[in-house]
Amino acid sequence: MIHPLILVGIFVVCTVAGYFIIRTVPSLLHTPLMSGMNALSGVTLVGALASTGLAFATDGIWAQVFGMLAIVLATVNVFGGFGITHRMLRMFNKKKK
Amino acid sequence: MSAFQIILSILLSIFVLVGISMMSKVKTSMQGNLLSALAMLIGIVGTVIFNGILNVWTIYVAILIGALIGSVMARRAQMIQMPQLVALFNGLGGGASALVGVMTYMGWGLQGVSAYPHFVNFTAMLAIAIGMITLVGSLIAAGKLARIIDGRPKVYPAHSLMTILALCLTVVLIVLGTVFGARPWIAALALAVTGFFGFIFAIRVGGADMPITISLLNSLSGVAGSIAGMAVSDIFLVAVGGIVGASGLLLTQIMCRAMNRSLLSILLGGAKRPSHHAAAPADVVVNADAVAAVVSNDDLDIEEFIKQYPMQAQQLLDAITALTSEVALLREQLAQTTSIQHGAAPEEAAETVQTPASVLSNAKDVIIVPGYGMALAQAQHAVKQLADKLEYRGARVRFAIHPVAGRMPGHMNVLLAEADIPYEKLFEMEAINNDFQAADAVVVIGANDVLNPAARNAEGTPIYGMPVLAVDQAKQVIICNFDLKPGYAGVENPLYTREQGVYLCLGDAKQTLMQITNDIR
Repeated sequence: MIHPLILVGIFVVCTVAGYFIIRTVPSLLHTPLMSGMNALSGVTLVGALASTGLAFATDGIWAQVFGMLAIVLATVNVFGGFGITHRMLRMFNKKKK
Repeated sequence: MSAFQIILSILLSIFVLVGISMMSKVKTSMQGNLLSALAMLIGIVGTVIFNGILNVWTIYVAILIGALIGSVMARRAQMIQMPQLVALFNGLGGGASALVGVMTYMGWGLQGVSAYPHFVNFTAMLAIAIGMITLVGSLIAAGKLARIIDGRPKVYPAHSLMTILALCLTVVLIVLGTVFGARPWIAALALAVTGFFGFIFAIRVGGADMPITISLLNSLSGVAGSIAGMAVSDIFLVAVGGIVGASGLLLTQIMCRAMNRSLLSILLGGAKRPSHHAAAPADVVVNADAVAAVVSNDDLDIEEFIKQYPMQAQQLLDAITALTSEVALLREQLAQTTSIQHGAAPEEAAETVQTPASVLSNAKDVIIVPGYGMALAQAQHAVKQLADKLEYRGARVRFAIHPVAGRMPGHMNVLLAEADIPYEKLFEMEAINNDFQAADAVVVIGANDVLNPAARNAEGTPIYGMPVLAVDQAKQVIICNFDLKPGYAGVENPLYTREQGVYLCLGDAKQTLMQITNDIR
């Protein structure tokens, strides 16, 4: 268990860091950026995996149902998000030659 | 959590940040995206190994199903569907966070008793709330964008009251959940109430406010993930969620500034304005009838009649003005249609009557202004053909992109990129606004509010004060819009009634553009 204050601290630091880094992205790339961020928001998959996996031995069937649903949703988010972002960026890039 | 795990989490978070910063340049953006994806993959594998859950078969089944659905959707999707897809995926991420919240709240998958039970309960409830709002809000937004449900803002009776009520109830439930701990009914009620809140908040947003809503929901899904991460005590999850939350917030801020509106006014007042302009012809009929009835009624008290007369007269005058402008527009429309149809008229005729094609034939400096209508008509390839032909003839073609054109941030850029238009030719508003004056011709494709000069002086209208593209300063403007209805903001565009140098080509932008491209000689 990590102390709550540390977790909140990490949240704040990352929010600020993210804010300043993302400010440098030109509006041309806002859609791919958003779509990439969208894929990243599927990172909750990590939490879903841990919860479901740990619940497997100790908790009942409902935990597995909820857990599997969470994993499916998050994985669709991750794969769909990164896939679409990749396609979009390839479109921007193919003109470079 | 061991020291190694903590260090790995921090390293991966830095990877993600680097990946994002690489997305600020087109050249490195693809690698940036891959780097973020790689960091995520390592994070996932690490989670499975460190938690000792390698032998749990259910997670592999679930991952396989999700990966299959996600990959197929990403591959099959057309670029035109991008806004709703982003919204949909976003919602799923939020839904997953809500479910993680439910599991943690119920104590599933927590080993032993947490040292901070109230913190875990609180963050779990918060994850349920934000995740569920994101899920339902995104689904509604995606449905609106995909036109599965009516895209217009919808306001129910006592809408604001219900919103506030749902919000209060959510807060109460979070407090209850924090204090009492695992109670299935609290979790179920929280899911229902926050789902309702997501619905009622998204259903009243429409049209041009969509980009803002989408980026806000994007931000929320990150925050939901981050808070779920606090609940399950996972540094990587907290960090990446926070980064996503910040990005969504920043984009939201940029959009708001571009529209000169506050976030609150969009969320709460998105649908306050009636579109009285569209209703004008109907009013005319009713008013005329009323006047006729008043005049023909012999039993009418003469005093009453005299009292009402000024009002009735005013209504009649209004009706006449509305009709006159309507007729002028129709006439113009007719003239334009005929001129397009006879675009291939003999040379002598072209000398006297200017057509969009003839204007473009002589133009050396052309600016194209795309809007949501281009997306709707899927006209980006036709635009590319027009641009190619103009360039072949030696003209300089540039594109002016308003920050809120389309239905998501950067919508136009993606569509034009799909049509192989190099991004060097796309210019942001500040960069190109002073060049409209010098341009020989401007071609507007399915854009309205973003170039409405009324934004500068029509006080009290929703777009007042919003920075717009200075299309009205151009000498020749060709407008390829579907119709002359005011845009989402409901404000008439004075450009439509300016006859000098404005060419209206109404109808499907794709066909109109192809026609014009053909006629350029």
